[in-house]
Amino acid sequence: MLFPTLAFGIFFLLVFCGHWLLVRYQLPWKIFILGVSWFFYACWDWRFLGLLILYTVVNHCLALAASRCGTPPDKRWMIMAVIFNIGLLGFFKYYGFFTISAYAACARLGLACPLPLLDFVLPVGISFITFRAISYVIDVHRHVIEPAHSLVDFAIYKAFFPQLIAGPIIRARHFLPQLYRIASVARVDSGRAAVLILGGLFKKMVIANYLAEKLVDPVFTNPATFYGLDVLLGVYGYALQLYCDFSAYSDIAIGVALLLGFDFPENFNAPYFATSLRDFWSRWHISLSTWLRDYLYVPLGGSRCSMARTYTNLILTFLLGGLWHGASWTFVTWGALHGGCLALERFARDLTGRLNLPRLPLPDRAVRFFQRILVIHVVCLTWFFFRGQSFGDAMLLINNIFILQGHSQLFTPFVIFMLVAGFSTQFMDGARLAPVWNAYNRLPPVWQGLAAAVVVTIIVVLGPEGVAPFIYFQF
Amino acid sequence: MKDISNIGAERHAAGCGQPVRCVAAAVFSFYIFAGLLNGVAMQKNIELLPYGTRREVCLSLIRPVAWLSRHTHAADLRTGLDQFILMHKKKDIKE
Repeated sequence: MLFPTLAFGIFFLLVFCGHWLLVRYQLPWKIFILGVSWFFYACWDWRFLGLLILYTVVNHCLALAASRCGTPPDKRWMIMAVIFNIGLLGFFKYYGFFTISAYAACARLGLACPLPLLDFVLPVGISFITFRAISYVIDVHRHVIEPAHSLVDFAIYKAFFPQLIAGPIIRARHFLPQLYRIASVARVDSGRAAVLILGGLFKKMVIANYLAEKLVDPVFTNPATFYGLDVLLGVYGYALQLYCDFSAYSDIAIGVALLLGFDFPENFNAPYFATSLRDFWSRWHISLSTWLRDYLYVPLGGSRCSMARTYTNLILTFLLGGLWHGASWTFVTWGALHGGCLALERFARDLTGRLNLPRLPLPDRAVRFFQRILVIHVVCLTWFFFRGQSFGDAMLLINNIFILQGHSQLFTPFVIFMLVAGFSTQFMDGARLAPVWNAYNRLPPVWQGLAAAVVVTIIVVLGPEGVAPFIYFQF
Repeated sequence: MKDISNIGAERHAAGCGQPVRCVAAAVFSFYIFAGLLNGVAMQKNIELLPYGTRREVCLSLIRPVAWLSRHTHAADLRTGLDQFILMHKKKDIKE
């Protein structure tokens, strides 16, 4: 059940009514919200509902066990939880990848590989479910949070439908306190919710879908037929398509949760305005980057150790972050490039700090402008591997940039307009549209409904026919 | 860069937002207006679905909405918008 569909519209109307009618009656409300969340998941593939329940029960038990340990806490339960979660994720997501890689490595050495090749259907949202589970058990183990009051509370946290399939990765420390006081919510920031949902629909249904159809898919599915400017336009298009697609999902999820009285933190903050790669990662998929920082980079030692070790930690964190996105060497390369570039950036910063180099004789604005251009191009370089169907395709496209061709197939006013529009949607992130949220809140309810209906109609008419699935569903 | 992790809490503290009753009224009016504007178009889309229970259920749900949409002439607005966009899309293709 995709967000921008009639089916989800009807589903949400029923959930909205049931939620606010039952919210004062704790147990019926909890059963209702858990039931609809499980139904939402079962709509994708009912066979994996059992897996979601298994995740819930096992992690709840392990978190309870971890919470009962004294100080210093016993690590056994936390380690068991990490092994269980990573094991299930690895089994479904990486078994095939590692088996094929092992086959290839053994074949090169002239050995036989005894591992059987199994064909799995990847449970939708498994990576997000795993990350939420791990963060919960680790936080309980560290005594950052108390375990959920009951299995039902934890099950709601695990399955709450707006964030279930493709994030954002909401931490239990954000969600559970809101769950406990949901009955006392009296005011809803419907202006912010409406603008997030409508903005998300526009980004996904108009910009991301057009960029995919007219620009990105042709270039990345036939890499041998595009050169020079076309390849550049293709990768710029992909950078904006991915941003519009994923930030749209996050915005709609945050907006839907807001209408139900839950407040999720923002997941994007104008990432292509970043002036360094470090800045980029504090603006792009914030819930993932903070997760990687708190549960991987810091436990590895973070930046509290030697310089060489810090760079290694950075690279390792992003290698695993790349692998999290998908079981493919292209994602590993993407992660390695980001990790390597971040390490290089840190090294350059450390070096300039030590050598006390003079600042460039340029105004700050100009420096920031060049930094932004540089960051965008480094990020775009890594997107070739992220989107490329294979390592070879990505390398071919990078190579084709330097082959100049007189006639461009993709350079049209419409494509340029879509690129500019996609880039401009970054102004919708954060609290930049707060005046619009407030203005919407001041409208009478009937006018709010009318305005939203008119905007949705315009979006539906403007967008290409059909709704493509969100890109991050595959992760 | 401004910290955006607490937007919700800051707005809550500032008293932004509306009572749940008003939000519910806005949501219901959205569904009514969206149904009126798009009822006929939605019915046409559902008619394209493969024959089966799902199609029949959806059609029986949407029929009254489409009827209202047609008889209040709200569907004409959507048709006009569709034709306007189609005209411009055709112009793009010719170019």
